[in-house]
Amino acid sequence: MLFNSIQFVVFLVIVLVVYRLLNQKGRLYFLLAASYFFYACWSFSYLGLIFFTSSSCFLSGLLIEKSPDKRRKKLFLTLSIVVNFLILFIFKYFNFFVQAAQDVSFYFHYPYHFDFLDILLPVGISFYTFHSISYVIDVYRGEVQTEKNLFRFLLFVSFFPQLVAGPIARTKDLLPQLRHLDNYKYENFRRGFVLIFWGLFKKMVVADRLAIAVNHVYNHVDQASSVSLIIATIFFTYQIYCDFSGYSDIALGVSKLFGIDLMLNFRSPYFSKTVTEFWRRWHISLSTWFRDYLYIPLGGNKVSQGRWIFNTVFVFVISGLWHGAAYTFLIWGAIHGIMLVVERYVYGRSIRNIKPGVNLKNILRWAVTYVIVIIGWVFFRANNLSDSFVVFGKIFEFSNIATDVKSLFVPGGAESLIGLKFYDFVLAIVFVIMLVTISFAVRKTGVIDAVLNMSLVPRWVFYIGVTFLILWFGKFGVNEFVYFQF
Amino acid sequence: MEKKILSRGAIYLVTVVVICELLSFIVPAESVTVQKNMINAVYLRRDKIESLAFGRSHGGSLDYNIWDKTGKNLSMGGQDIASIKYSLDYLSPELPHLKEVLICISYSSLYFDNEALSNGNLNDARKGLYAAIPSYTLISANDYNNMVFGKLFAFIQADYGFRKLVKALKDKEEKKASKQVSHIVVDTAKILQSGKIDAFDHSKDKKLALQYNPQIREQYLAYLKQIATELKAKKIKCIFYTPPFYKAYTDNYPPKDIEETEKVMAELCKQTGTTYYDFSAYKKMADNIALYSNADHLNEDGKEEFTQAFKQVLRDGKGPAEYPGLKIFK
Repeated sequence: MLFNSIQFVVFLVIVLVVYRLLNQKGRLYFLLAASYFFYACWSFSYLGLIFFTSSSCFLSGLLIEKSPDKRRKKLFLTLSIVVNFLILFIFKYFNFFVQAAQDVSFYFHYPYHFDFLDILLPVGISFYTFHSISYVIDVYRGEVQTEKNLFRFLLFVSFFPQLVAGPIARTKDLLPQLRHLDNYKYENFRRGFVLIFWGLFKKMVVADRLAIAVNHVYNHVDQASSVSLIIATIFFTYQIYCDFSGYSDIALGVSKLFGIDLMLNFRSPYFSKTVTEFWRRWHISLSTWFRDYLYIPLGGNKVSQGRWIFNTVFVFVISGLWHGAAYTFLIWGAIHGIMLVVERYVYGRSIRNIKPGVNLKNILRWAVTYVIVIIGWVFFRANNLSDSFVVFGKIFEFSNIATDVKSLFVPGGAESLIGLKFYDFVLAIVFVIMLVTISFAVRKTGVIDAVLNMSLVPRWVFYIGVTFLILWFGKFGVNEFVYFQF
Repeated sequence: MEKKILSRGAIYLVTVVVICELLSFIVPAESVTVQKNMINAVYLRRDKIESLAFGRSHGGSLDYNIWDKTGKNLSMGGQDIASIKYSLDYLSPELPHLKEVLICISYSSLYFDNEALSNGNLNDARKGLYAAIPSYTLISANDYNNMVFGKLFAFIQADYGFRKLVKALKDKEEKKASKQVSHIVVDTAKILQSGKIDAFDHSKDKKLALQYNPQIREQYLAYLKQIATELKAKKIKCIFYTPPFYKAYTDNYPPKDIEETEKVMAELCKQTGTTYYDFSAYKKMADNIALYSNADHLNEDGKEEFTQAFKQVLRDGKGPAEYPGLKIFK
């Protein structure tokens, strides 16, 4: 059940109505049932898996709390982490490592054929596994109260707005909110709906339109030209942003309808002046998760320089692998990790104190960051490693640029070059420019607050305007969110 | 507080619906206009209509200006068997003089699934049908997406204004070109020239492949059986037919689909007491490219010749000997 489907609208309306009719306890059970139903719509057979992950972490929390000594607490923590990561490993990474072992055996001329597992990747497994494990770690650290109610904990892991693609909620943020499931509030509805509409606009109008060109070019890179690859790569930077931030906005909005605040996941990441800043603005719930549960336990920056470099690159490589079991994601993570190290040497400790503002220095910094991020996206989007090298090879060939650019304006030219009809190509550019301009104009407050602070008439013009932009220009096919695959 | 939520929500919904209705009236989507006009045309002449024809775009090959009976050709690109049943359920009780229903069976008729795409058929045929027919029953269980969009947002076409504009410009160009050439032979010539004859094969066309669903056949056959049985009960003749196709189209279409279609249609006719006329390989027309606007669609001359031939076959009951290539299944 996709957020951008009629099925979801019907589901949400029913859940909102029934929720209102129930008391506190009833709401908890009902939201849990609704969340499990939501997940069952994706995959009924994997419901057991999410239940196992949740209940094992719930049990670990209780055992950690009741353990009299630290050694035993650590044992239960380790057990919980190992079991859950093992599940994640089997479902997501087993075939990748088997393939890698096979590649190595072929490389050294001792060819060996390993058996692969024939299983489907459970949707959202990376999200809910991280979500559950963070609770166990928080309990172990004594940072949160242990949850005694199994149903509440199951809801904490499976709360449907954030179940399949995050944001990865933190225990101290989400769990206390589930203890008081309030009545509806007008302000929550107002903010919730603005978030939902803005998210749908980003997803259906911008991301899904750009996706046509990106898929057309990136699925046949051997037939693509320099110009088509440059266009598709730039388009992908906005597709992935609009797709994922659109999803996050809808998740935040839906959650807000129930009075529950989820973690903000994006803060205009493409306005970043450094890669370090980019990671403070992009997929914030994941980057802070890695910071708090991996980078800091590894010693963070309070270690020797060599160790710090290792820590940084290692965390980003793992973050890359979190996205998918492929070499391309691994390289994508490594590029970002290395760039963070490089920036530390270029900027020193002043990296956190770069002053905002539009000046030549900042524009240069922004441009460099943008190019690095784009390079990373090539690996992220390419279907495999060899494709990503083909992309770079062809982009830097700069062949037939003038002819290809001209052909964009010939009838049928844009369609054969990038798979988009000419008017769709123009619309894609118009919407990207519109999005960037709006985001830049309201960069201090963010789009949602800017809308909510408007007076009545412009605010309603926005509501109706965005609705009709979606109805007119939205792509209404089956278009999954990119981050569902993780 | 909740009153405020409900009142604002209601204002929002009413505003959106009113604007939608206005737009549907001022700038209706093409698929909606076409189907609404067709259904209205039938309804306005409901006391005279004796014959109706249905089918995908290939059904357009039957020309009612030449046909013996007063009728209307309701064929439309993307019209599937389930939609035909839906239309007949609504129309047949309204037409007291209806004597026959002709259903065109394309090679794709039993395999192309409009539900396979949540957005309905590529040309929005189902949305248009929902908008045109004042009924609130679903064509099939999972079709509510098309129903909602067809009923509520009948003005919608992706990128409406731009598509319209581009189409208007294109039409202008084509009109200009058609003045110079009497028969526009578009893809056939291009495809034959390029040597990419397998372009007629839906398995190689990404858009068509999306709709190809061999599992749908049984469901469609059940609908055809229901149509035939119900019409028989009302003493309305049900005739199945396949129009002529240019030989390159037939030669390059997956033979399995053609053979299976023929086999199951023969079986269906036996079971329901109906007749299926397969003109697809009708030699006189299948070899003559001048009768086609592309590989599988007859042009005006082709329609005229086919309709005359079909009329004669029905009237005289002449068998395949007089019409080489024609197959008749009873």
